[in-house]
Amino acid sequence: MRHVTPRRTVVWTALAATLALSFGSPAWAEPSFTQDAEEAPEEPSEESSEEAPAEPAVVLVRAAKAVLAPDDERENVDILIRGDRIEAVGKDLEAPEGAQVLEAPMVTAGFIDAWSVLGMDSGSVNDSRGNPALSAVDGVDPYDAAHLREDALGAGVTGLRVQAALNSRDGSQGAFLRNEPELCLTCSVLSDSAGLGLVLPGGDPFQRVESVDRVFSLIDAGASYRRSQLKYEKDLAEWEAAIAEKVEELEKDFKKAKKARDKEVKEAEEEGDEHKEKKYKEDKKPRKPRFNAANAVYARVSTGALPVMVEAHRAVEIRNLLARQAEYPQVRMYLVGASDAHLFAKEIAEAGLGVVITPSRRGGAYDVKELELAAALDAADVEVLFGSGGAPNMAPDLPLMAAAAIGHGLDREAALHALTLGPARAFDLAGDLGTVAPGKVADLVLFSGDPFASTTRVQSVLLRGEVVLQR
Amino acid sequence: MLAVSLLAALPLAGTPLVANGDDAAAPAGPLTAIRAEVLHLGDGRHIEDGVLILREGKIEAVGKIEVPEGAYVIEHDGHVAPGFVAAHSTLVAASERGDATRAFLEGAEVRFGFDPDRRAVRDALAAGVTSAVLSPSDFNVVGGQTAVVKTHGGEWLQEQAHLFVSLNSNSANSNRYPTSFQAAIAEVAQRLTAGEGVYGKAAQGQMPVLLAAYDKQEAVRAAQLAQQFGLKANLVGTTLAGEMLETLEPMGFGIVHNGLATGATRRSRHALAALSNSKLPMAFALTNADTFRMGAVLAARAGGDAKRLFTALCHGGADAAGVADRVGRLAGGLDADFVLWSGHPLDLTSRIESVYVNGELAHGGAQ
Repeated sequence: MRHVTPRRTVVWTALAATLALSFGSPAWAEPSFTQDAEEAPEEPSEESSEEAPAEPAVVLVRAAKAVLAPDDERENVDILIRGDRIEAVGKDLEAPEGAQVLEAPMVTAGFIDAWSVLGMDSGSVNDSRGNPALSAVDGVDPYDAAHLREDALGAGVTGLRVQAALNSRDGSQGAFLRNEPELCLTCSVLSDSAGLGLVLPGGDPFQRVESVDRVFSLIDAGASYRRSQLKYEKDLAEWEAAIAEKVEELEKDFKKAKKARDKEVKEAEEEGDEHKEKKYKEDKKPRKPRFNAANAVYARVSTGALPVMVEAHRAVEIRNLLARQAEYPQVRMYLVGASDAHLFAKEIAEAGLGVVITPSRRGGAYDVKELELAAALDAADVEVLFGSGGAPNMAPDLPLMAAAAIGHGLDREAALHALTLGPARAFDLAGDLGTVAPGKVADLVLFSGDPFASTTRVQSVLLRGEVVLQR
Repeated sequence: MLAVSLLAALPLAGTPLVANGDDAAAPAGPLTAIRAEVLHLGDGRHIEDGVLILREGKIEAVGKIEVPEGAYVIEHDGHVAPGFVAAHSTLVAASERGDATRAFLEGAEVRFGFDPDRRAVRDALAAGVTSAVLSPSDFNVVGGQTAVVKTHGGEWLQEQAHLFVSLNSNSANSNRYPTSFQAAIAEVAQRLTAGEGVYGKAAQGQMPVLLAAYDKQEAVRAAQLAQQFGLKANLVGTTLAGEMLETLEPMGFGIVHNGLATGATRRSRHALAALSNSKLPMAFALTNADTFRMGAVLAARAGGDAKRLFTALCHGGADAAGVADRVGRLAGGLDADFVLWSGHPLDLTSRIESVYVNGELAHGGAQ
């Protein structure tokens, strides 16, 4: 902002300037981007008048069985979809005229991969220099492994929370993608800040313990950055109020003050001195703290506004993480991988942390160990989610692994929660996804039978109320 | 009914003891009867609310039949299936399965390298595999003679089961002769023609042959060699056989598939599905106990014939192993090797509750 107060100006100019400055930036201070828009040719009016707004398509799904929520499985349910949203869920709903009617033995909400790299450019995934300010959305490659995304969609996986910079200490913010056949960066990205994800580096136990401490010191830095931001805003408000007060005051005694100042100036001139302007403390405008992108992200982590997902495997670092995390009750945290988490199941449950089960070998298949881990954690009341891990080829088998986890003792309800409502809530999208209920977006999967049975096939998938896959 | 007349001849021994499948323990009397929601016979058929009757380690009868008086009854709330039979395995430790110095070891009998206490054997049993073919390594052109063993109790079903011939890049790609496919095939053909010892038995069809061939070209060469000499052969490791059905189906050789893991490519799943939809005999190899049945599961989901895939795990394996008269099905006269599942064996949500070998509880069951 330009400063318009040279020393010899008359008080009222200074006042006027202060007035202008305190009440907001004048038009000339900021560059105007509106000029370009004004120069653009106006769209011909005929185009807009010809097309009346299209009626949203209506679809009625008649399901012999449906999983409306992980704990709510019902028989003979009808789901009415208008446009991209579910309008009604009930028994024997009437099909409106012109509605497309679909029948299915089983319907569920679309499955979500909570730690994935499907659809990501491999360079971004394997980047060894991460930064919390990075968003995985910048590494999305709509053309990469499109056949795998198609396979995943064909298995019922409609949502992908993707991660970048897996080889770095700082990771990146995740992106939540709707697994549309034609991935579109403006419409398929449901969130460009779906949790901050990072992988604890390996090394000797001391390094691993220290890496946990490092994460919490970053959270501390974020918290203190946030405090300085809040303090600045508070101080700014106070300063502006004081200025306004002074301005008011001076306006009242304007003439008197002017006379007094003129007298002072004259006296000073007579004595041959320079007249020093009275400096009001209020002139010192509070300085905005320097912007720090990483700290800004960790500020949101520190309040729990942004969940943080930490990939950690061994007991040493998990123990330290649990101990440190106790000092930050408002931080929302998920462990990813967490191979040794069964040793701390009770503590993890008490701390309220969720765990994302992934293959322990990046790019490898799930092992019995991971399936038993899911069961053991669920038995201790830890929230379990599923992720395909650091390789895209495991994403289409995500529902199979949930089935296999059930075979190793995971509760059916927990498995359904892990695939639907759990990740929707984790990434603050539960208002739109995760269950089959009026108001939610119609991302649904129609199965030929129970979703976890081996002979079951996906009949069709709806994304935003539209059939995108039919088999 | 035969079952009824057999039962009529049995001495009565008091009231039947009834136990829940979860607490199954060693049977008290000579007869044990297991009643289950579904009995899978292992040949593609299944019986609902069926009864399996065992006597002294053998299956006496199976079907929708009466429980004989005096029998120890196990009520199982789930499915019963035959124990799986692996038509090829790496259960013998790698160091004992092959000799890198020589390409032809027809006299080597792999059974001498078998250690029944190995972890891999216990894992196989826990995964429902009750019998397995022990194979030599594939880096020798002729690795030796396979054997068929039970994973519990170490009983040998066959001590010299197949001649294991390896005609792939692992056997024709080393520092010792032969280094090319032509030489490997020429050497094998020469030995088969000379017809001495084991080669003679193989050429006369008295000893079946397992041909390890991985690529399509390797499979064609191996199949042609088998056809030329009239060998009773199965191809092992030809995972893309489903893409060469036009060539392989007329030849009729069975395929022992290595199975698939999660994350397997779409191509490999469709190939296995196509194979299951063909008429070629099928069996599975045991490379990883945890995922032994995963190939069948993935292929079923990819449009394969679920019944044929399941049969491949049991009877198909027994057939390829040459022990179909002993194991692989729930049928009167066969060994009482079976598994109690919580649900359908091809459902990943199902878990194994107990495994029986020769009518004895071998894994799981009562703690």
